[in-house]
Amino acid sequence: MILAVLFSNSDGNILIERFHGVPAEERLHWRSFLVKLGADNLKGAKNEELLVASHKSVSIVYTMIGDVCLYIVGKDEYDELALAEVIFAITSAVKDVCGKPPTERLFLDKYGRICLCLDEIVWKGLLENTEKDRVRSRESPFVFSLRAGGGADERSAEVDAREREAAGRKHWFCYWMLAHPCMAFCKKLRISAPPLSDEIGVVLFGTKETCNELAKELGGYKHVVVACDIKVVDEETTNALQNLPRGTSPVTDAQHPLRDPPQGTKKDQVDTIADQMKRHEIKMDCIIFRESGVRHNAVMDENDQLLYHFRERSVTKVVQVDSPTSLLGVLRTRNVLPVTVFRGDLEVWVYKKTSEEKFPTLKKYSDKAPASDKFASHEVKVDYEYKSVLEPDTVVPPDQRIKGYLYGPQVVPISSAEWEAVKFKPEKGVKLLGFTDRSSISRHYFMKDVFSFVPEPGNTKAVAAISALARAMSEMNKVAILRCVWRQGQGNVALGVLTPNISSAKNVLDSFYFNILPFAEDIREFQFRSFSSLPSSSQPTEEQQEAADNLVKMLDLAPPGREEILKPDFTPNPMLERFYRYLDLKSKQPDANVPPLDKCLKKITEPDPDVIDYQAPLIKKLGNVFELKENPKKKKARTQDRLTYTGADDQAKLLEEPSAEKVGVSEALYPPKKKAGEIGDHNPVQDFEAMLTQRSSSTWVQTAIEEMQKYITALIQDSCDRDNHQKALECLVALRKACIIEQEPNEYNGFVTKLCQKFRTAGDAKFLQLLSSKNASLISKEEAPDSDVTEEMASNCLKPEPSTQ
Amino acid sequence: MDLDPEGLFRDDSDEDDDNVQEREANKEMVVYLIDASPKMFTPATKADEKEETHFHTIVNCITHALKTQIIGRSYDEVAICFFNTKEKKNLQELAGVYVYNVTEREPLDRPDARLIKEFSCIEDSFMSNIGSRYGITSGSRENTLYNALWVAQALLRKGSVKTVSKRIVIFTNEDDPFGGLTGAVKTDMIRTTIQRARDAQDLGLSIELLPLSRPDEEFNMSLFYADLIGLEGDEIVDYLPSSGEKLEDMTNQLKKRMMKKRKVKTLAFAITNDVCIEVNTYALIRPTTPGAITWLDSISNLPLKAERSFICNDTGALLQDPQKRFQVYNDKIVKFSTRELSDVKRVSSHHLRLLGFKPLDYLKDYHNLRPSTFIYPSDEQIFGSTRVFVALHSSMRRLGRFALAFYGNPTHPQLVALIAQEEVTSAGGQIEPPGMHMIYLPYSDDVRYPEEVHLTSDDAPRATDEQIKKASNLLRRIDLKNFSVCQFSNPALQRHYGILEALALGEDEMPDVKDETLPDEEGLARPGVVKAVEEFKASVYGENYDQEEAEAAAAKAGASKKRKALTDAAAEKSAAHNWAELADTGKLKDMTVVDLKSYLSAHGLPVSGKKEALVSRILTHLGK
Repeated sequence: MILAVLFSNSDGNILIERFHGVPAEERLHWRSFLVKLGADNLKGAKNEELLVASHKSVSIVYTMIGDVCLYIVGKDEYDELALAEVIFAITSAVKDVCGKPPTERLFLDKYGRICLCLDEIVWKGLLENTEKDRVRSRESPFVFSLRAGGGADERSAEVDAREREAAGRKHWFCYWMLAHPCMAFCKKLRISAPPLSDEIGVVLFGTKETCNELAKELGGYKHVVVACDIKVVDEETTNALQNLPRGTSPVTDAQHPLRDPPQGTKKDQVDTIADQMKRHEIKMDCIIFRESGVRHNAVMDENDQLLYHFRERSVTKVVQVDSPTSLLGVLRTRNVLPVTVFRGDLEVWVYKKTSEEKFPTLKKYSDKAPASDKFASHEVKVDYEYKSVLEPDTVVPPDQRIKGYLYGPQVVPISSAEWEAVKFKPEKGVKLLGFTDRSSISRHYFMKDVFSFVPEPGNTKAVAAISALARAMSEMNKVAILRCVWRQGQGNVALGVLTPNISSAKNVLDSFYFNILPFAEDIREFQFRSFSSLPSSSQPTEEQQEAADNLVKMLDLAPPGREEILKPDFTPNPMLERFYRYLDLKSKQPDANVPPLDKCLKKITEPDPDVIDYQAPLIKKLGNVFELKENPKKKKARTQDRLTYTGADDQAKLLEEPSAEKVGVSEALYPPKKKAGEIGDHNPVQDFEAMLTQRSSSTWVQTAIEEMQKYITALIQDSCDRDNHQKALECLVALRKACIIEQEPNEYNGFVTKLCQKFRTAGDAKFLQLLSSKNASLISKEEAPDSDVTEEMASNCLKPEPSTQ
Repeated sequence: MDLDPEGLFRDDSDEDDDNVQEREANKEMVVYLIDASPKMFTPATKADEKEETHFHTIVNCITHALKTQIIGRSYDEVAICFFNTKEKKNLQELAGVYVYNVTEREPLDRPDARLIKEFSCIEDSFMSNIGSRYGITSGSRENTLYNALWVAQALLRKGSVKTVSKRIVIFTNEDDPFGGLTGAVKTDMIRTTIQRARDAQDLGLSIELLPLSRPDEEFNMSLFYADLIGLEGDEIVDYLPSSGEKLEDMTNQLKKRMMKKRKVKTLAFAITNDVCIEVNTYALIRPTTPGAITWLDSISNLPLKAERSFICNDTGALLQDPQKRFQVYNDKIVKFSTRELSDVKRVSSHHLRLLGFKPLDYLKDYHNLRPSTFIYPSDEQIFGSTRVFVALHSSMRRLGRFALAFYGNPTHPQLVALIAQEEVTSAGGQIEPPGMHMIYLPYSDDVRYPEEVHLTSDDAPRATDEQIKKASNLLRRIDLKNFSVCQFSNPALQRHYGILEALALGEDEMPDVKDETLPDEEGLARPGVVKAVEEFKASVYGENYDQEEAEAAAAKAGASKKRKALTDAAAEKSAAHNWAELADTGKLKDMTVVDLKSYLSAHGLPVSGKKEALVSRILTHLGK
């Protein structure tokens, strides 16, 4: 978030200010803080020299341009580097408007236009447009084109292209696939949409109906429906996507050839569209969803070729996936504007290649504000105060604090100025230490997220240089060792290995990956026993080794003739995915429980049940040849119970899964919303266990136990005869087990005691006998420490005629 | 058999916290016993008078060892003790033994800055304060070596041998301490001394000797010391060279925080539904940070305590730690309890679940996020785990596969690649331990495509074969022979330690730490290399590249030359006035704008703004 952009004159008067997400009362503080910062440091600074400061968790980059001071405050992803990017964009825009570094007067003359530009560059606290020429139009709408039915159709592509002409610069996704998973998409869209002002339109092709402007005005363009005009995502868009018409029209069936155009070849037509798209700077991302096992025929191949021709002709990216899980992965939750980490030597630009998408940091909630206050922010401010150990009442002001470092038992105070004077200050730049064999660097030494070295765009010499080096390295199986300092003033160097990335797509440049390597200090030399010196009891026998070999061979995630399964590039983060779905759900039902992982995401956290089923004998073999035993000394009291618990549960799941799997994609994306919140007559024990495993809220267990008690009571009361007794007993046994595991023995004990009394008064000893035969007596202290029933009491309680009566 | 992970392995701390304090156990206690007989003060080699004495070598070596230790293992305890001294200072009041110490420190204690500082310059005052003499002489009944061992043993009395390793290190250049004696007295003394040493060893103290050879003769172990430290046969021959290395090691050790081997976590690794084994994880590679910062009060230098308070933004009321979190979504506030959040994050019931296998080349170079974690099997809770692990390990090695697994860490559930690592050993010991490396894979959300940002619609240019050939030639020329990953120390960290040491010891000069990560300029200037680079440049950038570059630079330089000329002229002009005086008398405002600007441009300040701004800028610059 860019919290603030502020222009002031050299005397500290504010000229323009833009705050984003800063409460009004804090703004004054920021104003005075920034102006003071500038007064202290900007005097004597060079024109456009960037100065950096940080305050609490935010970073500040500020500069002087002409006579005007410019301050930008950012936090989270807007660190100094990103802010530098922002400030560059702003200063160049200001210079553009003013024609030169502005004096205060010139600046005020052009006030209106500067404000306009500023709002284009920074929109709602985010960097929007950096390129000068793009600063003119704010819109960057997306057109979502969902194809119902599947297959490629140039005609609809043309419609899209035309429509895009109308809207200006757009980003377009083209899905040739069934329309089912769209609900998942729109949730994703919703997530990425709020902070951005991206606009989205949805065009369906291959539908039964026809509904688009062109069809109305010109005729033709059949089976194309504009489901949703281009606009910022809102509830309506989501609804439109949820109620998509399914494709039935045979005209656009996946297997059908395209109709020949009136003039030229199909290829020419693609060329025309591609040129048109290029002219309007339209980028196309194409995701092909094709489940494995689809037979290819000539028509499909032709359609594919036409699509790939698009890629060659225009700015298109084509991705092919074959499972709903991958499809979810291809649609990213957040589009990140790439920011260079470094530009320089060898004319390379350095970007992040991987960077962990973190779980969002949620704000702390304060419930102090009165309910009537509609504008309450409910935010919580966290305040840190430093107090001396000796005088706990006095607060030490920040400028009186000094950092101390441990040296043996003593603490050495070092002021930041002192530190600044002597600390390690390497020169900015990338230096080559040399080349070495790829094999001399094991994969596990890679330390951090990965960088990408890309040649400077437009510099053909740099492109050639990098391409030559990358190809030579890849041919000779070599890697380069580099020492990198990304920024001037960085207190550390990054030592790492540069590996070639030879591009497979024609229109993508060759580049490098850069991985950080550890220093000598980072390696811990722990010794481990070598496997060959292990006792024979730990060495596998030949039979066992063979079983392991077979397992490795058969559980193949990259089978020939199929796309790689769970490829990192197409695998979504199940935790984030689940969180955003939950967020959406909770915004509608505030007291909703956490939904279980759906089938699609489960395939990431657990092995694919299809494969497991298929390899069942093999897996069974593995279990049989190896003997695993728990160490009896280490066994914990509750382990055994837990074991049987999950064992039963897993089996129940296993029974369900194969049948569910066959339902297919749509089923997978919309798991049946069967809530395990009730105990049905059909299979009460399983329902009960399902409820327990759900445990998404703390009260769940309690509810489950209560439900079960009610159910049992009802069973017994309903039955005059004893048909239901057997069933009730089963339930009771299940309840007993659960109560032991959940450490709620008194729940059970109280319930059974009541039950017994009831039967005793009714003189019905049969049920009690049944109970004791099934060993469903009270839970004793031995079984659950919370219980206050001794073993003796437990066994006595079920005796048909207790001594007391 | 299905083992439930939650029940078995409850030790489920959230993060791999590596910064665990070194525990009291595994600590080391050392007594350095230094021979201070006059023999130690003779020059080490005859030829050169200025040659350092053995005593100097030892002081130097121990100082270095202490400096390393205070950073690496500051919880270890140390005592320094001289023998064959004039003065005596020890609890037992034994003659010829001097336990060296500084104020505010127990004789055997953690090293501190003062100890290092004072010990490093002990030579200056040694003769006057402690003094040196031969301890074992004919005629005297004293046995200083015996006394020294006795004192050392007494010093090492604290702490149990089970948790603390205790060492006595003897530095001497006298291979025959009882050489001056004869007859029954000699045999008696040798016998009692060796008995003393044996007793100490029986108590679990190890005795090491760091012998120094005098110029004219080799140190002869077999005369006496082999018996003292209990060497037999071949060990005696090997001992001398290896002890030389030890001395070298002590002086040149890298300053590095030493970590004791400890497991990070115990995980249940579910291979199939029925087979679930137990593995331990270890952090073999983690970035080392300079260490924790303590905030101090700059006036009193006392540590500060941070207090956190939560304040409601709307009402200003003080809150207890708020339990609810919220996210604004769709202009609505959506609240979450911490329990709900942790439930959301809990996507897997198993710690580590095997999903399948892939060929090794499916693991790309960019599939990385964090340092890897090492996995080694354990039979502690589940018997038979090691066997399964070993079988799987060898299958994966042989078939060239890595395992894909899901690591259900409660805060960071992630896909991981498990790579089987074969044991690599060398003469020096194990280089790579056998086991598996767990590599954290990115999700699609974490991968970016910067190489596709600057997509061109035409085919991207590629290098020609000629250019590739030239590049290969370059690669061959600049080849790092025997490169190993951890051969460089971290210059920033070493510098940090250096500064800390200098400040703590009150040294005036900041240490000069060599930056090993800089390229070998000399090697790169070799004619063969330069030629290869030139050829490559020529083939890629064209023949005239340097010239073009130079022109571009010259154009820049031209501009800067002009600027410089202006500055010079301004400097000349501004020198005509005494600016400080003008400022003091308040006459600056009487100057012309041109004059004011001359001062500003002479000092490289901005010259824009009104006259008042110029004046105030000059005043600021003059520091008024």
